[in-house]
Amino acid sequence: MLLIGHAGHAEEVTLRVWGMGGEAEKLPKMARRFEYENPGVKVRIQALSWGGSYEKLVTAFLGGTPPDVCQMGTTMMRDFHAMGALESLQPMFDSGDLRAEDFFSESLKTCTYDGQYYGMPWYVDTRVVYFRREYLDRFGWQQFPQTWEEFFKLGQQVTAAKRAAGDEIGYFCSLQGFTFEMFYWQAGGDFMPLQNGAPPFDAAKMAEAIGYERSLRQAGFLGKPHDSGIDYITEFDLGRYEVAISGPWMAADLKKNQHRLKNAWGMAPMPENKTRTSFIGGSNLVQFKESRHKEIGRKFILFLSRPEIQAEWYEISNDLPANRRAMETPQLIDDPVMQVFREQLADTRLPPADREWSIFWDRFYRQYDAFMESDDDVKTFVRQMNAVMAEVIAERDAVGRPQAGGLYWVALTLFPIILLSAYIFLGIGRQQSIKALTSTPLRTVALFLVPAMAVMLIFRLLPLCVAFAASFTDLGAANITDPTRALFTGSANYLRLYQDEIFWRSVKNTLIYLLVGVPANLLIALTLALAINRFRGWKRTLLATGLFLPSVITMVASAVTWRWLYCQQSPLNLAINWLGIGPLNWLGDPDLALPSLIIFSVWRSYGLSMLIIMAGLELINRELYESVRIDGGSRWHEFRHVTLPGLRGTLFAVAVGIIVANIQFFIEPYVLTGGGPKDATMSLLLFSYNRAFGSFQLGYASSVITVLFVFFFIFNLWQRHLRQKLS
Amino acid sequence: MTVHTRNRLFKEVLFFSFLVCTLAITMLPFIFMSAEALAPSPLTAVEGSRYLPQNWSLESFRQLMSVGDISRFVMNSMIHAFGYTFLSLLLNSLAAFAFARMVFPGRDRLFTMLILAMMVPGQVIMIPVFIIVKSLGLLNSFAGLILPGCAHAFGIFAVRQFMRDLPDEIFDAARTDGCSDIDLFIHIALPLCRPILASLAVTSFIYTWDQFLYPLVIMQDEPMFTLPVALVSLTSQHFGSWGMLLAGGVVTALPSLIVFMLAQRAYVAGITGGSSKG
Repeated sequence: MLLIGHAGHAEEVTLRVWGMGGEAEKLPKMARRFEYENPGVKVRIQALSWGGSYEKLVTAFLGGTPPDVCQMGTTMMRDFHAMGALESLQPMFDSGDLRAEDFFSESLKTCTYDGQYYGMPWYVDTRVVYFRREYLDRFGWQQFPQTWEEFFKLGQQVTAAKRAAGDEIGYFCSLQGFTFEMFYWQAGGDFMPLQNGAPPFDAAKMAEAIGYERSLRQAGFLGKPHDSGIDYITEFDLGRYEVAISGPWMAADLKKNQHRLKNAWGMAPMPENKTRTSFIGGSNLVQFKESRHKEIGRKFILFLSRPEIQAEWYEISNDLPANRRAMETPQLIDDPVMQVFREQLADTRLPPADREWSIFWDRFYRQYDAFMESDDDVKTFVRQMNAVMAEVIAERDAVGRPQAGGLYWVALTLFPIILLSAYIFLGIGRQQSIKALTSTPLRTVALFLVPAMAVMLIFRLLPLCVAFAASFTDLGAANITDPTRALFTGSANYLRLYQDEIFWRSVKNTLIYLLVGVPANLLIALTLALAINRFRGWKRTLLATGLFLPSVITMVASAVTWRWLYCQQSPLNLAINWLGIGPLNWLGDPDLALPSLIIFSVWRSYGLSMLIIMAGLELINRELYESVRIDGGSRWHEFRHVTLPGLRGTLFAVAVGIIVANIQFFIEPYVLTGGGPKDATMSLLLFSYNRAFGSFQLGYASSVITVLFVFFFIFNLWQRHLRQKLS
Repeated sequence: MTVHTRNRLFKEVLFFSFLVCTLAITMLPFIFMSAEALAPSPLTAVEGSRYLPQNWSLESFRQLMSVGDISRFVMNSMIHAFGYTFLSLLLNSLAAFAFARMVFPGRDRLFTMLILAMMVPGQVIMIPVFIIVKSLGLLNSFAGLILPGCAHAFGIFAVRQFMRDLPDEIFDAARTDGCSDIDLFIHIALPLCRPILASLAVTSFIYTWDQFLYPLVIMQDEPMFTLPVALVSLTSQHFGSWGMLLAGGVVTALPSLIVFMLAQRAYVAGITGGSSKG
């Protein structure tokens, strides 16, 4: 209010608030109330998708245009604090507007750095058990199993009953939204601070947790993988399985959308071993240092923290209140769903958020699935994992890495530029004069050449050099504002790339994509071009234009269309169903996702190849056909001895074009699958993009770029060599 | 003879129907997209699936207009596409003229390097380009969106080939009449290059309209979104509202489709020209 009345007349202030998809959609309702309480303030809400939020926030921060108030996932806080992006909210706690004891302490930890609060927990998230009552009643359970043993017993009863009833696809339990850490905590384990030489987790408890999950799998509780294509909550509703571990959204969905179950379902906290710990997550509200309307922004944060507003927000969004006092409000105190969550939230923990842990889990899960299927010794597996973690810590602690410094950047960036200039200057005086009129004065040449060359130098050559220089450093979130502080890491990025399984997966995917996509494209294009070439006039125009259209249609529009065609309810699945194959889980099935993208991409690109081949056909000497015909040659002869040799150059050019385009395979997986499921559609460029904008490891991402560049360079030399040999 | 003709005719019909079938299959996604965009009610999971809706309405488009400032995004995309097309014609033809009709030291090696640059895909250097654009203070601006890509080896190469093949006599004659290089460029080279410039213009427009990754990174503020970026952002926000999203797809696809239909010949010449020579 102070700010608004400042100039004597009420000037309208626009508060920019960014939220994630679902939250942003529902937030306007609260914003209107805030506007009503604060005349002269207009709240503008922009929605970010969860997937793209990290990149969006990083670029907004770097671009100096961050929002005034922003929702931030608890896992992102660390990076943004490291970047120096976040404004301290300590004054709000100091002044007593916010009280630390109102919030869950684990949740507040995600806001705390160096003893200061850099955010306010907005809502929390945890996992509880959802169960269908049917089997519970049948086997005489008064309440849901309280311990691991009881849980296992119920699992055996249900599984046996389902098998006896001849149910082949039904199973006991779905671990949706489950994170492995929970079993480890429940076994009494704890994650230790990462120190060289000290084990980061308790081996015996880890073995117990892993062993327990494996016993669940081996007892057949978790079902076989299947692709019904419908979401897991509907499946629960349909009775395909009996127990789910899931978050607050499932309760909301069951109450609102699922009608078969009515009240035949219940909720419970996690079964207990040593503890019944679940994990805590959620979102905080933060301000950036460069946010413009901090005062009003803080007011908005404070507004959203009020118990009655938090309670109302729960009813709108089903996000669990982060302010514990909200759970005591009349609206929520008797809410049965909330009671279960309240009970569970009393025993929740925060998964460790260090970058090293995410590197570790990456490697862990890659071997975990295979281990789960095997009968290998759990202790050996834990020992292996301990060794992996030791490696990760050692990598972090590798000493003797000098800071890159300004000179490094200048030198390494300019080096290739100097090299290229030398190449040009050394060539002076050797050029042969072709069609030479007179030598043009240099000033005139500069006038024509400089604009284009300057743009290419600054935005094409220089970036390549910067990427090259960055690939030998640890440039990233912590030092982006001052690259001279980046550490020179030598070949570490390349070494890591060599060991990175996702990188090799993306190389493999790109290769599969080329090996299947390019021949398919050429074959279809050639067949169609030859067929269309029989026609002239309107028929030819119609066919050529029509078949070419997919190449002209804006990529994103096509991608959205195919995203829809590939979903469960689309005409495509209807047609497939009619053929008797049954609806396919096109993008969700790891084996099917890449082929689905290849189909889309071939559909999109064969028209272009076809047109180029048709142009190539026009260049073939008609008389050659005549002579074959006079010799009595067949159509096949014609094709084999005239068409194909005549098209050689064209086909080669088309192939090179498709290969170059397909190595840059990006939008298809970005829009359709995001690289998933299980990295089945991860491409090289998406991999690099994710490292750069998804987790802001610019140095690491740059090493991918350098590798790609070297690859392109060699490919280019090779194709020029081949082209010369052809002609 | 009649048997032979009939046989030929039969073959002709067979081929034509094969091609028309292929064409129909190729077009199906668009047909479904447009139909679903024009359906009166959004499809929900409960209803099951359908091939084509029974009734038509503009409800999805209305819904689309209500969730975002679509006309703003269209405007942004227009500025992007036209600005880029204009600048790239100007810069590339200037440089092409220097390479084609001037003699200066280092020309050939410089040109070789340009051709090499052609092989590095733009997306590969996106991260450093982002850093540079940022340090120039051009994030969230049309300058930052248009400038970095507007001079490109492909354009220079295509125009240079065309200019080099123009008859020397015209230029010689003009030069003896006292024309400067700038006069030669404006009054002789450019008018004669109209076909290749038209091709370049149409390909540039359609290419720019299609761009996604780069605008996604550079334009961060929603009011600056281009149409494709806005569409993807809508897709993640309103996942499942397929009627509205497909309506967005139609709106996004239409302009480049119209440009293509109007200038088909120039466009096809532009994309087939370079490759059929090699």
